[in-house]
Amino acid sequence: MMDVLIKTVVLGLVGAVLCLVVKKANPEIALLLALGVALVLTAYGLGIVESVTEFIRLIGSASGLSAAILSPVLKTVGIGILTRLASDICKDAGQAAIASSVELAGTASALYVALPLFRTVFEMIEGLLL
Amino acid sequence: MNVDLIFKIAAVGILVAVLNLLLSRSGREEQALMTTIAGLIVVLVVIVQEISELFELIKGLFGF
Repeated sequence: MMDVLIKTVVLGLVGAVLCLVVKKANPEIALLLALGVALVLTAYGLGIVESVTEFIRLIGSASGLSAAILSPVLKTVGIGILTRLASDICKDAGQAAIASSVELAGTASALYVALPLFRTVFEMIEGLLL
Repeated sequence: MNVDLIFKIAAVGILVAVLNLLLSRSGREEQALMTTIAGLIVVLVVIVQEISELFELIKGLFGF
């Protein structure tokens, strides 16, 4: 774990410096370089998250929660990570309008993914009332 | 996902910058522009592959 953390920190700093070097000559490639660094570091981070999600799934199955309840939560986390990354890259490129529409799409799909949960709650309340 | 990607992109960026400088100093502005665009496309192709890898990773990880 510490190994990955050190690697991430060093790579992030090196990537930032390289971005500054490239930015002077051509800002487009600097932006793509920033995106590349972000992708590699996210992949490293997700390597650790993998064991955490496995543990969450284990707890879920041990406590008798059905997968239909747990999976929207995990999916929303994935959507959040991707949306945040894309919108921040757009903001770095100076396109705040694109960034906010990416965020809107992410919010909408997170809501869509969470719909089964809302439906379950609704059915539960309905069952209590009847 | 490998670290080489970062250095590869940075190398392409610096190379394109040098070529751009050389070409525009020798008065070939249009070729300098074409060099910039070609470098950009090369980097884009590499990045797109990497993005699809990240998508696959997230799909597997969060159970899409």
